Amino acid sequence: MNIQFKKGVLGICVLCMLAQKDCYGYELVDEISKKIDIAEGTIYPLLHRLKDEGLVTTYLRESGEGPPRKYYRLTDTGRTKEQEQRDEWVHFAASVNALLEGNLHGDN
Amino acid sequence: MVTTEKEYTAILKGRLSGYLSGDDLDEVLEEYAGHFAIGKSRGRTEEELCTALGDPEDVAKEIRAAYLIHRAEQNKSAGTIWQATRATTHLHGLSFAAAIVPFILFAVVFGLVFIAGIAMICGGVVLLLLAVIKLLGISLALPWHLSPEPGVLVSLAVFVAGIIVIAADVWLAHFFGRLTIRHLKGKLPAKKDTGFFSPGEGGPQTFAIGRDGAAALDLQVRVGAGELALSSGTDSQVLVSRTAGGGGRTGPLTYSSSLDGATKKVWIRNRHHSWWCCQNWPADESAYSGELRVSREVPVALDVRNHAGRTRLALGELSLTSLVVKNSVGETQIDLSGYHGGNFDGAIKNGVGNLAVRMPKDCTVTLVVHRGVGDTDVRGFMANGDTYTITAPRPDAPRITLRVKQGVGSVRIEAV
Repeated sequence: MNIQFKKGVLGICVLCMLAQKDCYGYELVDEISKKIDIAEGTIYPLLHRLKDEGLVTTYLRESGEGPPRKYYRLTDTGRTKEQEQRDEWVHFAASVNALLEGNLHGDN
Repeated sequence: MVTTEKEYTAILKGRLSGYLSGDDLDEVLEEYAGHFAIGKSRGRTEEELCTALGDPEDVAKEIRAAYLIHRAEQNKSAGTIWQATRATTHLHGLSFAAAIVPFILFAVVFGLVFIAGIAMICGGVVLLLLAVIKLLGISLALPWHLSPEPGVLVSLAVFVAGIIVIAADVWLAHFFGRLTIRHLKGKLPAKKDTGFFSPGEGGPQTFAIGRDGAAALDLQVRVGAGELALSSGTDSQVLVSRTAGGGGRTGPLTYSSSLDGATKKVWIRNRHHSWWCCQNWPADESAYSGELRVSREVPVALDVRNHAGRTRLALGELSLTSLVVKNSVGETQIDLSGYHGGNFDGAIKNGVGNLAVRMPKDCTVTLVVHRGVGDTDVRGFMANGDTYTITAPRPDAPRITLRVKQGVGSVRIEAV
């Protein structure tokens, strides 16, 4: 699948996951890479970008094992953005699906 | 094909250094080190992790893009002449007067000496002419007696002395001018002069200031140039301690303390806190690292001033009675998130450099921002003109009143 295509939706995926709960980097990367085949290393720069845009913030929390982990949390702006993007995506995906199905029917 | 964490990190570091600031680079490397650590603790091999992360060259490109966008945005707002002008005056903050007074004195003295030199040369020439005329036997009605032969010598001597005075004056003025420029340049935030603080010069220097039964702490920190990090958490009988930095090297901080009733006053300074010495910037800021830790057990009146350098204050776990933070040049980060101490009033004055403040959103906060030059970004507050507020749901939540004065640079305040 086209890499730009994946990158485009990656932002939404991260925001949606963070809307459910705060996550540390590895957790996000792990979950996403289970579902989407993407170089895991490229998710961290995306997180940085989201932080720069003020959509997420970070904080450190002690973990049972090893050094404290950097957690990502949605800001209020991030939460608004997440809802917007989620709505857009659902609408967009439904339209694309409808078109694709229409085409398939047309072919048959 | 990269198969080990070491190689992977080395490639990232190699491709990113020079593009990212030291801090950003550390942040990135830490993130990936954390990824490897957690991955390994879950039974994945370094090789698997490297493969899953993807080609480090590509990853480095992504990171560069992510960080350079950020930098471009920052530069856009920092590039105007107005800002530069403001920056120069702001740059010197308190020391501006100290810099301008000697400058004017030098200028006046050199000017006077120069005029004296010119007068001597002209005088010499006039005297010479008069002596020669007299030698030729033409009588002149002079108000004073001039004997011709020594007159020639005296006039020549005056003439030569005038030339020497002017030459010396110009040379000295040039020398002092260069000295002044170097002094001013030394204070520019981007400038990193070499020398003076050679690595390890400060040597490992840690200290711990005992509590001595004090019920409150009045802490003043003054840093001339260098990085200042302050956070909370000490042994129970220690009020303030200093730990060695990551590199194990610390700068030359000195301290003094006194007990005033139940309040212990502590002053911490670095040796080179004077405007004259700021040209001796640490070549490497990390040579100056080291962290101050403050006890969580007593209320603290905190007053921090950093003349030039980065300041990071993690105050969320302290109980403050007042807070004053001033920086002249350098980045300042103040983290009050999670604050649950007493009520306090505070003032933050930002000279030149970016300021980032995190405020606790479950406290009742009143924030007054005096805008300067640069972006101001306040998030998570109710805005009313330049006053921003948060009203805590709990009536007994700490009350914080904070005045923030922006100099030059972006100000980012968020409630978390």
